[in-house]
Amino acid sequence: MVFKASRRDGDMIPSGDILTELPAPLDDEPPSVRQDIADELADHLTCAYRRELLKTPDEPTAQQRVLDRFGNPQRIAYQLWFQALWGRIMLNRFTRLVQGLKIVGGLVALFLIVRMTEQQTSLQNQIVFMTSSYNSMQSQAMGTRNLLEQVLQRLPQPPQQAGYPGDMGAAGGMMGMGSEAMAPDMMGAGMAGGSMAGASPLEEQSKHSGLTVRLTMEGTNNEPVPQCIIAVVSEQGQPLQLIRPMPDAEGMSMGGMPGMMAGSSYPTAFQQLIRQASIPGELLTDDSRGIARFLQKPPGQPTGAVEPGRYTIYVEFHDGRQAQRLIVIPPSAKAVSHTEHIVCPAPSQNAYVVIHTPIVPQDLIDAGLSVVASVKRKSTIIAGTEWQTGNSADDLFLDFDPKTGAPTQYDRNSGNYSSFSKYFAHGSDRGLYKGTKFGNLATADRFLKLPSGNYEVVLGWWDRREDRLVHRVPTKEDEEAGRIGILYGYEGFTAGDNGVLVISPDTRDVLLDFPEGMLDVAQNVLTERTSTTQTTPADPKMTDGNPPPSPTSTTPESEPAKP
Amino acid sequence: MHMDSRLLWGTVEMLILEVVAQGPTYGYEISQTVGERSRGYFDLKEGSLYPALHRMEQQKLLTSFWDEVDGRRRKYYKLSIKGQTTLDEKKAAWKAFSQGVNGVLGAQFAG
Repeated sequence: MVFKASRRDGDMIPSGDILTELPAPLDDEPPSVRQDIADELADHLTCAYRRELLKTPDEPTAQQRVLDRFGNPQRIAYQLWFQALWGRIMLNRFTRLVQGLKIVGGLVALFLIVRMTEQQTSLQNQIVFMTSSYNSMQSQAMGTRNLLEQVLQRLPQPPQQAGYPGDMGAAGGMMGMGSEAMAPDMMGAGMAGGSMAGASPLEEQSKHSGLTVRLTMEGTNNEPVPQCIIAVVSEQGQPLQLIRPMPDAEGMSMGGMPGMMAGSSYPTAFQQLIRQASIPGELLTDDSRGIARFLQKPPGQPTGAVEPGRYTIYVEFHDGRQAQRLIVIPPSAKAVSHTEHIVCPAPSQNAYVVIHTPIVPQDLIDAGLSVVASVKRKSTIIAGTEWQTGNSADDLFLDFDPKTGAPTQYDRNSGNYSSFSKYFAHGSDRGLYKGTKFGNLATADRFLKLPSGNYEVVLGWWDRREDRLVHRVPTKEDEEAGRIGILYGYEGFTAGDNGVLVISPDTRDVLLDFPEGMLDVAQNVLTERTSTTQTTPADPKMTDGNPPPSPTSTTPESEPAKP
Repeated sequence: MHMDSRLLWGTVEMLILEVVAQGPTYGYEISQTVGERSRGYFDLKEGSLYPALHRMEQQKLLTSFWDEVDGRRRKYYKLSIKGQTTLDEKKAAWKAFSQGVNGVLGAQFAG
């Protein structure tokens, strides 16, 4: 090995050449380490070289002899460098190893958590399914036993001397009579159809691969909501078949009962259930767990697994609130149970509220104007599902005495002051009207029973002379401010804070001010009426020429209707 | 006579300590001193002396300082107190060892 790099006079080797095999400096390497090593080795080589030159004048020979005795300087330098920094190098390697282990450990932990979560979810679904199946079989067995006992009681008892085996004979007779007495169109109703068609309810449940709907209460630890009206309808309008038997007030199972008990007398509660069940797809959740399970029931075919597709779940809570949810069962979900969890609103507490409006100015009273209002409960969104209201006092239409501001309505036929509410049950023709008669009650007693919650109150003017609503033409500012509400199908004035009236269980009296612009509209009517006298039949700003339907023909309390 | 390296590496630390014990010295001088005193018996690579010196410095047997000679930096080594103690222990052990070995070999040769 011959070093040709430049060197100081008398030096054998430049110190920098000794360090050529060293790796890149470490981050925390002391700056003097390399130079110290190079200087120490270079001093040794230079001393040896000069001494060797005394023996031979030939420099390459002297240099070679020095290197032969010393060994490879670069390798020695690397050995010394590693020896000096061994602690730091090992620490760096250990730190990197620990960091790598942390990353790997984190990934492994994340993987395990994901796996455990998946397994836990799967296990929970299995537990829910197995529990509901067990309870279904249990309640069905109880219902079947009660049914047999009732049928046996109604059958004439065979004479003992006839020698028939009592129990078996009675059971056989019941089955035969039940089959014969069953009308063909009732074969498919409820669980009876499945039973008589050869597949027992238990068999259907054992091969259940359908849709399970679980209803729980908002704000609780998944407390179940029992006895909701629930229906599941495909996008083609075909309802799914509820497969869970429903114990009625008598402890009987609804499954199989319509056919079996045709012609006999039912308990009233049970008849009510049958009537509800006759509405396609509309059934009650079955038990205290708030679980309803459905299978496909094509017309004229036995029940089977729910086909992939889009379905709508309709739920009506016991206080009248309704919700619907669109679900999709993908093709990959066939032959496995699909579970939907719906969170229902907590029960509302009733408030007894008297709603007052301001006293109407006398000139407007003289012009035949009074205040009317609609009071609608606003929908709420719970866990992504919108709950709307549809019954009881949720949709109110009120008249107010213009002189007192008290709720009232004059009924020409009965002579009473009243207001009324209406509700429609979804998907059926069971729309009902309910009236709240105030009679001659004191103002404080003209309260309304309202479930606590948020309401939308829309005020408007009723023109008693024209017998129609005076609606306003909304301005751009009205729309931007959200002041427009709908009253009898026309634009009205929203009242309350930002159009929301909050009713709590403690609310007693609600005092409504005239919303912005409401008096101006009435004054316009007055001005128009004064200027046009009797020549103009209708104000184009007031109506569209077709008066909206009035809840009743009204005249305020202070101004009875003229004959 | 050829040197048995196994015998050398068992005693090289003691030889270095002994040379340094004479006064501050540097690597090339240590190698020359060892070679001269052993009459050329310890024929080891001079470069291999430095890892031993650095190790003994890390073990606090030696201390070091730098000086400048002929425009070059030179590293000098001194014996520490701990190094002196270690040297005394090693010399005593070697003396006992060599006496034992010589006793055996002497008896054999005498026989």
